[in-house]
Amino acid sequence: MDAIFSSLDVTYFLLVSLGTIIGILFGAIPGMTATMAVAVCLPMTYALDLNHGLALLLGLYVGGISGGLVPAILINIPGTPSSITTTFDGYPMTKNGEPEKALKIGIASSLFGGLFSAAVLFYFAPTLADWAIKFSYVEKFLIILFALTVIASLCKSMLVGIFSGVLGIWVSLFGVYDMSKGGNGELRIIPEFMSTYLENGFSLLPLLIGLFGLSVIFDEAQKGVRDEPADNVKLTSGRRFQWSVFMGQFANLIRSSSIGTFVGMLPGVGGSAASVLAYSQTKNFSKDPGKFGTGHPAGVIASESSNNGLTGGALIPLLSLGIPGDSTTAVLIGAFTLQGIQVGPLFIGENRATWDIMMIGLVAANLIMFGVMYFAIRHIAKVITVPKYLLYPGIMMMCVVGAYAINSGIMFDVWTLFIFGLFGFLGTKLGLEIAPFIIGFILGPSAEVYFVKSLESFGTLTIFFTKSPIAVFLWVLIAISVGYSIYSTRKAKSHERHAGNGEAFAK
Amino acid sequence: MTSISDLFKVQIDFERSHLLFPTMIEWLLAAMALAIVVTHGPKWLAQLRGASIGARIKAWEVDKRRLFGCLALTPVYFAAMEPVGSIYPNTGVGFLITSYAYGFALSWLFVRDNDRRKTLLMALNALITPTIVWFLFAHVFRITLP
Repeated sequence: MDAIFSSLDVTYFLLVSLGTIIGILFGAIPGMTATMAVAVCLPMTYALDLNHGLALLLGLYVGGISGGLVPAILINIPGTPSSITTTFDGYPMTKNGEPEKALKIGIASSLFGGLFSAAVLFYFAPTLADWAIKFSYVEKFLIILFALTVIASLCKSMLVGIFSGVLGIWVSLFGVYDMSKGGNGELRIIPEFMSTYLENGFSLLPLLIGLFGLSVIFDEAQKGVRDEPADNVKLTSGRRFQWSVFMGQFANLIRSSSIGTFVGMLPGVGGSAASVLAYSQTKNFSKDPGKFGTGHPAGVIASESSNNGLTGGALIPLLSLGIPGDSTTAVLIGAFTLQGIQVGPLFIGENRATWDIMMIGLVAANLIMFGVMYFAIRHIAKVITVPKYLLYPGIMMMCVVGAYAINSGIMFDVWTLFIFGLFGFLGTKLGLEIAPFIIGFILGPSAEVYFVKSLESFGTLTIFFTKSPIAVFLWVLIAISVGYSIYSTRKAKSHERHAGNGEAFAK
Repeated sequence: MTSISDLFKVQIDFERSHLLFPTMIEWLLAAMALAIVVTHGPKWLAQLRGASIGARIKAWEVDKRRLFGCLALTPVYFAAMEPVGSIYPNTGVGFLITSYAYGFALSWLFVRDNDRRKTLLMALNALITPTIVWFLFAHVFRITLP
């Protein structure tokens, strides 16, 4: 208990607040995401201890996800991918003269979703971790395989999704086969002359900052770096927000927050999937589905409670299995590594104080997010109009600081930043999926150790199917995720065909 | 006589164990690349036949000046940092000086409808932002900068 109270000082809560405010601002600027906020602000944690660093990062995470509702409601552009469905009813509410009401509905729903998912995280993660402690290398390898198939099954094309994940694994294997993990210390994949730079492979954080920081700026440059004209952002009071708008919405709040939390638990699945699913379910269950898309508060409630439900959900596989639930938690894994802490089944049991402090930080971040956004929404809304030509140079500099300082001054890490910035930019144009790539990169070295050591111990490939009932269960889950992907692809194609036939018929 | 279970037996030579997983992954990548070409290839071919390269680039909405300018400026910025920093080693001056220049150049590249007010804003931003970042990280947090 002493360890908890010694860390919960004023600085801790100031850092949560600072992180939340910066996160909200990042989320509120279209094109900048929560992941970018965490990646760009990582260098600020280099000088902090783990608990204080986590305070800042959790604030950034919650703030970044929540801030996306501001441009979604005011200018019909989702600030983060997870607020895409907020535009469906939020923007019509703005057009109907209710921007402030829409924003406050979104903010309150975000708070509910965030706290709901924090409660699920608090009760569920330790149980899952206790269960996962019993896993042998075989089951751990199958968990990684399952994670990759789940991520891939939710990509546009499962094949491309798996390809991206396997490519991430391949890139993670550059350098020597780590002796500390039972490897033989021999170099592989890269030529000998590159061993000076890549003996230990690419560093995780420069790679992440490149993919989520630099590539976004390259992408904006390609699109011409267009700013939102200030007069597009109108925050007229209109009809005032009243809490009574939530009357009869309790089921919607619970359902959407649960969907968000559950989708967050699936590795690599982003918030847009959560909010789309929650929105469509709310519409299906509604007595007036026709009202959706015309400025119906239930739509905003579903979207915002689900995307904030994602925050606690995505931390569950991270803290109990060591598998990031989304791209932002992938960056958080980098922050843990930086502090010398391995996240996985043993994390909660061995770092009880850190776990409790994290939970307090997560709840605090949600409450601070609500306080800041509810009472200062008029001022936050103005951030949308800050010109990008002034913002991007500063972001680029933060990216450089983050990459250069991670290994105490290695210039190659800055080049890694550039390489993966370019890779992220060009890769997405070619159809590669970045989320599976990142998960593959993070889990690749572990997958190798689990796979090779299982074979060394048992000497047969059949062990992956026969080791235990858990292994069989995991294969069933893998089959379900692959089956689901094939089914949904076929369904989408059939829809397209029918739509095409319909159009042809109409002509 | 070999039984079916013998087909799945694997013996790993520790000396060459570093190549087992990467080789598997490379084969898997090659197989998937082939599968992607087979499944998506006809669609790509149809698109290729459908429009000229120029029309496709146009459809891709490339702001050539800003994209290629940014792609050229960034490596120059990175490459200049260490040589400039070596003049006053371990002070982060390389980062500071190159960031002044890069900050202004990037703003100038990205700005639309430039005027005197915007130029002044860009110049101030290019001076203030790197100075704050440098002071915060190199002096307050004591983090190594080039």
